[in-house]
Parts: sequence; structure tokens; C-alpha cells
Amino acid sequence: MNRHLVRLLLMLYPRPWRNRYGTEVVRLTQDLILAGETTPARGALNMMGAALAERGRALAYSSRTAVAMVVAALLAVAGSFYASGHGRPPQPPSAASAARLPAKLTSCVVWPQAIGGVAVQARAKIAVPAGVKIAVPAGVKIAVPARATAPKPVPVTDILVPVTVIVPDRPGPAKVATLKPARFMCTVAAPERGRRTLILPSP
Amino acid sequence: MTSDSIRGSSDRSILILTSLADWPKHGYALIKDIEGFAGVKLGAGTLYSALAKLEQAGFVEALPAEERRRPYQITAAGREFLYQRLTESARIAEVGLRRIAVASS
Repeated sequence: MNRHLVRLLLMLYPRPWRNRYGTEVVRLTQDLILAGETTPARGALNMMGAALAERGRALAYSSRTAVAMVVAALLAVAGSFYASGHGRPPQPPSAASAARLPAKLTSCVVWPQAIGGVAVQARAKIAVPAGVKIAVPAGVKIAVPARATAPKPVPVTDILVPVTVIVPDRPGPAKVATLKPARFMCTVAAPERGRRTLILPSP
Repeated sequence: MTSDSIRGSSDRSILILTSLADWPKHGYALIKDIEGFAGVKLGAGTLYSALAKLEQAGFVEALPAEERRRPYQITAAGREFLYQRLTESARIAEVGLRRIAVASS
């Protein structure tokens, strides 16, 4: 492999990894080529694949904590979607309230936020019928990052979050009598896999 | 990086730890040794990805470079981890083989 290609391949690795293992992996690749154990093309491909894996691993590792935040935030948002009318507490579901109102998850994005590394926070927007009020249950905190500090939304990692959204069977704050759960799945795909944020409507 | 993350990774980590179980080896020697006892030919990038994970987990450590090559050796934690994994694998293999034998008899 020529020097330019080696440099290019090394640039694919995360910097800390490159600084620590870059010289060794290049030397070993060259040794394997000289010994006829591999070809330059296969050596380069192996380095490229490993570099991409390291990139993904570094990203996933740094966002592990953030993924927990995503799950917590989404569940908190979902949990907060229960209706209340004129101060009356939500009533339990009943057989008479079988009708399910149309409601769907309109967006679910995560974006990296540089706070001592890569963190991820989530925001979910859920369209619900008019009259549904959002209430945050006691003990639940929803952290919504400021717009100014949030860069362009970027899918970060695979997250499959079941979100339970509760909407009233009939709209209107005065008409809320019963609740019925609807379930949403929000999948955020890794960008290197060529997928984008995927929203699945309620079943 | 924890034992669980190593556990969740492929068998490459076990192959590397097994190769290092007797004495330290550098990258090229690791590749040839693993190819010899397991028939698996690792690429340089693949090898160092696994080595990096193992080193972060504290299961291997780098020794001072000899000429152009840096040898790696297994640590006490790595040896313990390898022992547990191999024992677990041996137990599963034993059960599987016994059931195959019973089924075919």
C-alpha cells in the first residue's frame, strides 16, 4: 500500500484509536502483505472495515448514557400524555369506550449535544386530538434541550422505544371520560447504515 | 468497557486470549497462531480492533516494543475471564454432545 492510501485509511479511525494503534496496524498490514498472507486490496479493505466498526463503536459507546436519556425522555413524554378534563382525574378504561382516536407520532429525532463528549437527547412530537391535555406525572421530569444548543438532528444509533400514549376516546376537555392506550414504536437508525428516522404509526 | 461488552463481542476476543494464554505475542504471531489452532485468519484491522477492546477491558496489556513490533500479554483478569468462558463453553459442549449421543443411539 502506498503512503497516501495508508494515511487515508488511518484517517478513517477515531483519533484516539489512531494515535494508539495506528502505527501498529499499518506495520502489521504491511508485514502481512510482504509475507504474502494478504493482498494490498484485502489489507486495505480489512483496515477500512475495522475503521468503520471503530467509528460506530466509539459513537455507540459515547452515546450509551445518552440512549438511556432518550428512552427516559420518550417514556416520560409518553407517560405524560393522559387527559384530564376540568380538574377531573382520568377515568379507567371501560368496555364502552372501545373507539380509538386517530393519533400518531409525528416525529422522533435525536441529536448529539456536546457536553463533555457526545450526548444525545430526544424529542418526540405526538399529534393528539384537540382537547387532550398534557400532564406530567409526579416524579417524572422531561428534559428538553434548548433549541440554540441543539445542532441539526442526526440519527445516532439504533433505538427501539416502545412508547405508550394514552388518549381519550372522545376529544374535548369536558368530554373526557375514559382512556385507551395506543402504542407507538420509534426507531432511530444509524446513519452509516443508510437509514433515517423511521416513524411507525399506531397499530 | 466491561466484561459484558467483551462477552457480547464475537469469538475473536476468546481466540486472542487463548493465543496469549501461554506467552506474549505480537500481532503477526497472533494471526499465525490463531490461524494454526482455530483455522481463522484475522486481518490486521480486525485483530487490532479486538485487541483494543481487550486492552480497554484490562484483559491484555502491551509490552515494550521489540524492534518494530509490540507484543501483548494476557493479564490476570484476562486469564480469569478466559478460564470462565472456556469452562462455560466446555460445559455447554458436553451437554450438547451428550444429547447428540443419546439421540443417535
